[in-house]
Amino acid sequence: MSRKETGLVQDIKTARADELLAVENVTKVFRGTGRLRSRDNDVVALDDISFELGRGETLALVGESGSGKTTATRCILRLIEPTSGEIRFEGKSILGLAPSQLFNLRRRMQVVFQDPFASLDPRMTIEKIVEEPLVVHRLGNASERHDRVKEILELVGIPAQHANRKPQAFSGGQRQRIAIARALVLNPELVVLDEPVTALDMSIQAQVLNLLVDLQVRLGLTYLLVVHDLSVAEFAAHRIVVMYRGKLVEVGTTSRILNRPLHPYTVVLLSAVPIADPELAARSHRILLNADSFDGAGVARGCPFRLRCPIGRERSTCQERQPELAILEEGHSVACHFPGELSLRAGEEVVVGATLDPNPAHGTSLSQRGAGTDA
Amino acid sequence: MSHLVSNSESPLLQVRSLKTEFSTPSGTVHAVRGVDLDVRGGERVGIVGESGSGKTALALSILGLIDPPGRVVSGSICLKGRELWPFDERRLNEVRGKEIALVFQDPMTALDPIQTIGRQIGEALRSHSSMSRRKARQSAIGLMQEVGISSAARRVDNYPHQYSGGMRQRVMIAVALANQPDLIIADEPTTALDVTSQAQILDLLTQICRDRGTAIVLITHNLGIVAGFCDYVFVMYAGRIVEHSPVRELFAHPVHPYTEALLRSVPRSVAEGESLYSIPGSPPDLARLGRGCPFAPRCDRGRNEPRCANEDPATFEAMSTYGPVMAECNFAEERFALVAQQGPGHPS
Repeated sequence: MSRKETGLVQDIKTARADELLAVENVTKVFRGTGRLRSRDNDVVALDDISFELGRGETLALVGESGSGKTTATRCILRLIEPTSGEIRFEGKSILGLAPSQLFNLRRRMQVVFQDPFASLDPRMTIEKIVEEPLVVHRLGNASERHDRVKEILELVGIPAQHANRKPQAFSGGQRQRIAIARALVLNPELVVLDEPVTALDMSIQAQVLNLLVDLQVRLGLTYLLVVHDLSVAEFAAHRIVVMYRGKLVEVGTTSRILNRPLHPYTVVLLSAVPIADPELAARSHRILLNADSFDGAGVARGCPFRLRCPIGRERSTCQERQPELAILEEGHSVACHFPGELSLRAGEEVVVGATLDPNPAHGTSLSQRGAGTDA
Repeated sequence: MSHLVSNSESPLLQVRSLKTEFSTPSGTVHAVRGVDLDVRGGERVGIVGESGSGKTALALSILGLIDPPGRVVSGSICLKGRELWPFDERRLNEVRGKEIALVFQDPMTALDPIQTIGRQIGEALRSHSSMSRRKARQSAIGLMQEVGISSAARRVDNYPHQYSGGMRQRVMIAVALANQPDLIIADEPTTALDVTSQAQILDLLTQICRDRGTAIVLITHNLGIVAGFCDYVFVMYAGRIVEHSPVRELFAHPVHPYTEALLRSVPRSVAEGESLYSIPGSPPDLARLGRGCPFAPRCDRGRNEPRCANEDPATFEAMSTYGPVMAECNFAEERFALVAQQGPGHPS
């Protein structure tokens, strides 16, 4: 069984019972800056999105750049205010919090950014960097803070005797470990991981992903993982939310989304993931979207994906009605008038992160299923 | 003409024993330590390695773009039978853009933010011919259409900030195509892009290679990209090519333990409680390389072998099912023989 099937969230219902974060009908509109301040220039970055996150769960937000993944996480962290909707942390609204309450909440939600070359101050030692959140929140005295920094650095695999070095002395993977230490030093419950391995080498990605999963299990962390690479989501996430232009188009468990994607956009995303096997790559069917992804004028009505959709471009239903996110099977929702119609042809299956492992002792992941078809 | 070259046996680009060094306060960094590289006309070649393995330094060395404190120390860079090194600026200016074009990783910084797209493509055209501005603008529109930018006539006067990342990378490719080069070196061309744009850009490069017969050297750390795009792959580690092989052979039967380790660390689904494989240790400091195989301390096979620690690894060459294979490893012969015994199929 893969991690997703036996993972901490076996059942969506149990996840709801122990819900940590709930996002309800959140919309974020960035007002246009045209001289006339007309509504035409408004950008709807999030359009009525709802999802929840269970304690101990990893939820991946997946989509292209511009799909609203980062805006969603910024609203959740209250770095920006949503235009409408509700966000609850442990059942309590976080939108109306007074500054002092918000300050206390921030201890419990932390973030790891994409680029560890930009997110660490080059003039601070890593001890100062990791200690800073403790100082900001006035926790402990100097010697207690020192001990905590040492402890957390060891936890992420940075030798504590290197604590007085500056970021430049560390490689990309080590810097990302330091950024993770800084996020964890306050003992948060929710950690937002914004493309945590995208800036790293393939060989280092595995180390950092292993560390994140290990820390999740040891510390009972809940992750909101923003990622565009579905092979990373396949490894790390229990559930996946697929976003397209500010809307949720498909939500489901990782195995459902990867084995039986229902939305054509999800199928396109899956087909775009490079396959690390030349034989499979040559056989697999790649669906390319037209390049002008954001030449979207005139998509006010109907399905927002229809102009790029391989199956809905010409259909009147898709032109006239906007599909609503509806539950199609347990733990799997999709916003499409023709769910499941587009799939990759038989024998040319979607393969994510295919592997060379000749003894697939890892149950049925997509990769093995794809490789198995020619056996 | 490129298609003529592709029919002949002599390589388009032949690099031999190339060495590039950077003098730094903490010692001399040996970024490229004797690299041999052959690229034939119309071929798609991959150079794979971790950051710091010398991939980019190799690409810049070929075009004479290494600035002090770095320098190409020795070697031979032969383009269509003519030697480029020691560099002659005038000859290099003829080569750059016209015979070999370069596409960089980050299209956000490679374009000038205060020049229109048309001007920037036109500049590439005008640098190698006495073309009028008006004619250059027209040709720029043609090139933009060729790289898949729709409404090119309208967008030619846009500025880079009006383009998305994927579209900017298309502009960079249009610039590279401007003078119909025989070879395009693309250094991590899709690393800054998301998966859908990445697939489009790789598709575009494949088309260019097929339709124009342009050879492409793709530098990347992503083995997925290599598998789908390249005909032939060079694996780089610590400034050396440690293995090269036809792409199918490389993925089916990696000979060098480093290649095998790289292939094993591709993110994928694993069983509950199991971790992804990751290569232990970190790449060596290229300013402090000692004797022996640079991968030995991280190598499952050679970690405790005195031979690997003390002597330069042996060079192994053989003919595989798909073509010639080379690996710099003391165990290459043994590992290759094992594969031959099992016949084609799965690696052990």
